[in-house]
Amino acid sequence: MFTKRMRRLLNEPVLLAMIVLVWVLLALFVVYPLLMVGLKSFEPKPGTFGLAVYRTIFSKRYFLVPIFNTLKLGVTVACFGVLIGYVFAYSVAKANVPARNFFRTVATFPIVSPPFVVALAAILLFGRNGLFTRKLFGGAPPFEIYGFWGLVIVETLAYFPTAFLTLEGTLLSIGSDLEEASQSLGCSKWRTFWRVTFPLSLPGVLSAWLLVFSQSMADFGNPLVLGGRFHVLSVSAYLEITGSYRLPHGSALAIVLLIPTLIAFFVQRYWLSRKSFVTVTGKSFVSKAMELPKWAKVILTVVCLILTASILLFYGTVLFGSFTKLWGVNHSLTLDNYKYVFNFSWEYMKDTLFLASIATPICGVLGIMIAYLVARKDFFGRRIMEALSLLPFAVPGTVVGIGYLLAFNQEPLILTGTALIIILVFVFRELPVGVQNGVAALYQIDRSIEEASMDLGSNSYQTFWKVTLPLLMPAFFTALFNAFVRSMTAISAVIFVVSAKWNLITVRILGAVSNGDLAQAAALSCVLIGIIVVAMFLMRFVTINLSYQMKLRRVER
Amino acid sequence: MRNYYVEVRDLVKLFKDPATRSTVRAVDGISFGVEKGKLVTLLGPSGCGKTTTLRLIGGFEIPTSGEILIDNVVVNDLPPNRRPTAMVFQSYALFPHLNVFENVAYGLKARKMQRQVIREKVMNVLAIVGLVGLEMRYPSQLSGGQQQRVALARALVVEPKVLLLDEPLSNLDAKLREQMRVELRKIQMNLGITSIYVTHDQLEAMTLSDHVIVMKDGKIVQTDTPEMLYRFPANVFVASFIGRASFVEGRLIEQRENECLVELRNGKKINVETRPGAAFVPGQEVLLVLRPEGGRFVASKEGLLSGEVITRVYTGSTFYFEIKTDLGQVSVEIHSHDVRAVPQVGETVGVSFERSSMALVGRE
Repeated sequence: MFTKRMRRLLNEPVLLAMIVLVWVLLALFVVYPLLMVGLKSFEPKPGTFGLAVYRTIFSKRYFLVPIFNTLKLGVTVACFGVLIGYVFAYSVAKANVPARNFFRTVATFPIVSPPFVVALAAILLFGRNGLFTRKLFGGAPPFEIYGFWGLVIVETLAYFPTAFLTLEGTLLSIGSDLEEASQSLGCSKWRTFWRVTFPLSLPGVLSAWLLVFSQSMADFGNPLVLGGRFHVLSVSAYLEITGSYRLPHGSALAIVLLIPTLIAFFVQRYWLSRKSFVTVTGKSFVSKAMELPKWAKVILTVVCLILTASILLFYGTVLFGSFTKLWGVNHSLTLDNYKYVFNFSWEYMKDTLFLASIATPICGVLGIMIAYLVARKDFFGRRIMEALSLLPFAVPGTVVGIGYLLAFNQEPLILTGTALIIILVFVFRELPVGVQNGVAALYQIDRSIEEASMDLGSNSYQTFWKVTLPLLMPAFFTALFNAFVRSMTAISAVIFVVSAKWNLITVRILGAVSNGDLAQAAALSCVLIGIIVVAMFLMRFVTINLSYQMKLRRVER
Repeated sequence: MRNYYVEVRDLVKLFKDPATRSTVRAVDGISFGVEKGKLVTLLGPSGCGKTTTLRLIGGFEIPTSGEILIDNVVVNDLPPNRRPTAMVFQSYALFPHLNVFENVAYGLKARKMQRQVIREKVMNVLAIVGLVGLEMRYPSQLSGGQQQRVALARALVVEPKVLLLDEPLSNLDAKLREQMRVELRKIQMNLGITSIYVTHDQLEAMTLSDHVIVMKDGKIVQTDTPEMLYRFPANVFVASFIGRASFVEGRLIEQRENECLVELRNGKKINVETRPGAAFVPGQEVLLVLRPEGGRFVASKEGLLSGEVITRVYTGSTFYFEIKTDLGQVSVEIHSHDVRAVPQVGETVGVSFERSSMALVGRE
């Protein structure tokens, strides 16, 4: 069996080369850095190995507090995020509230925008010189935005969209015939929700909870800006390494951060996904919205309105802030901040655009290549290759950053300070989306379509180019878009590998926030958001013009 | 007027088509009644409004106008859970997170019955549908036929005044469908439960129903017993939708009480049975409906029609022929056990039809 497979591979040299290349890349840029972090944490002093670092971490209050804080924050944000996400998803997917598309669009703002924009807005509104602090509370806010509750608010707003999207998918996949059957058997709508809809959506709820939990655990930008004296693991690890230069302690903290997120990832991916009650039968069904009683609809609509209003308020504040002279003191409008952006920060912007533009196509092509190998070819270690390429989903950026810092600062590969190391971080951080979308798309394409192509006389390469690839185009574009946007807004991993020569706009914004140049930070954020919006329209344009699905849709009309 | 248990009066349902922004008349002013304990089928091609009608009765759609009465009570404004109906869904809609017992008990729990009573009723109904022993299985562990039975049991156990069935057999394979059809009818007759059944399968409608309502484009075309539908179709649509039929043009010469004299284009005259009170007028252009299974071969001059055999298909129990006559193509089916000579392709034959296999419809 094994030898047969090997022999078949040897007959296809291009395929074999591809497999070897992918293995080498994954080993070098996914596994090796992580191993280095683990190794470093067991090396208290150069050359000596032992558990000394962990002993320190688990005995000193200084280290224990961030561990406890991170978990507390993660659990709180996950609970709030899922609760809000559920209400939102139910309203949009099942309750037929008015202006659903509007709610949906606004709810996805935080996903594509730089992660710390919400934190910046929170400071602009509730900080010491905040608009609300001054105007509403007369300088004495009822709560401190720097710290636990500030982070809970900001991260909930930033990460509930993940829960929303997950739960929307789950709720849509619950056929309305089940709800109708329940009503037909005598249950009211209220009871139907609790007896049918809710239990069926539970796997989705858990899934969403774990996703938000991981995101909050891994968050770096928001806690750095808003944490104050409330330390979390990602920030502590960063400060250990860049501030105190204690690499082993930083690495150990990173490992402590990695373990819960890894567990969450594997539980979510390999256990929960199988738990799901919802099975795709291939039979198409329409998920009709149930007509809810008026009062229920009003409540849901109001909740959605409050949420979207606060998102819009936060983003509007940043936009407004970018045009003010000195936030909190002088709110007269000016373009000075944008002049400042174009005069002094343009280099950062150019570098970021340049590096992201190089990384994006590489990431997309590599992702689709791995997806093709995993979904269509039979070779030894196929499953492991898939798991490894998806691993960066689960690893917090801080851990990756420390790993790259440790791994490529020494022989055999010295990359520190180069543009290449930043590009590599971008490529391998965003690889999973391409792989996942590609695999999903390939599983949907019936093998018989490709077999038909071969049957009609094309060889396997022609088949790939003429049949498979065109069908994969939408997944490819999504991967490209995702890689570009997330690279433009990345912070947690790249902050460890930027250099004086190659620096990034997000790092610059964080610097501006910590210097108190809030208006400049707002202007920089707005320019960054502007670039993303342009990319979004470009992406739409390309998808509409190049993918066969859109062509078909137009023909059908 | 008869006392109907379920009655639908001038029911209209309009849909807005979001794509074209036009209004679709899914159900276009239909009225019918179902007597207590009977099974009535709504039959028609897809898009004829039969499922919408059923969903209106079940309360899943709100009628644009018209009334629905169950047991002399107008139920228009009642939500599905407060109507005395229970529906068997085409997709079965079994709750995947509940096992067979819990699925069946679902409606009883909703009615807040006692545990012991629930248990008894569930086991009873499971015995009726033949699922005893599978109570703890989950829907995903059942075969299609078993899932179908659970769906039926779940609807029966709440003892609805009216059982609604939406193409319940369409997801089963042919053999199983035949078996379930017979079983379904047995259960329905034994329990004497008033049922409304939706299907596009005419054979299913014929074998199951006390009455069949044939629908087309949101309107009722004909309501009758299966025998009468087959024997005396109201128009060409019904004649070709129910069973198989060939059509031959003719002119009505004379109408008597229970039959009409028709002259065909080839000059031959024939008496055709009609339903009492059928609205034909002498001189009217008509179509003669010929059922293939009533055809037989005669000498070419003696037949009603004569022509050349162009197709011969052997199906095991029968031979099926297509004959090209001077009045158009006609199909004939004869038993393969028929000892008389079986014509070959290319042979010229005469064809006659049994009196009971001919009917008249107006030409449209």
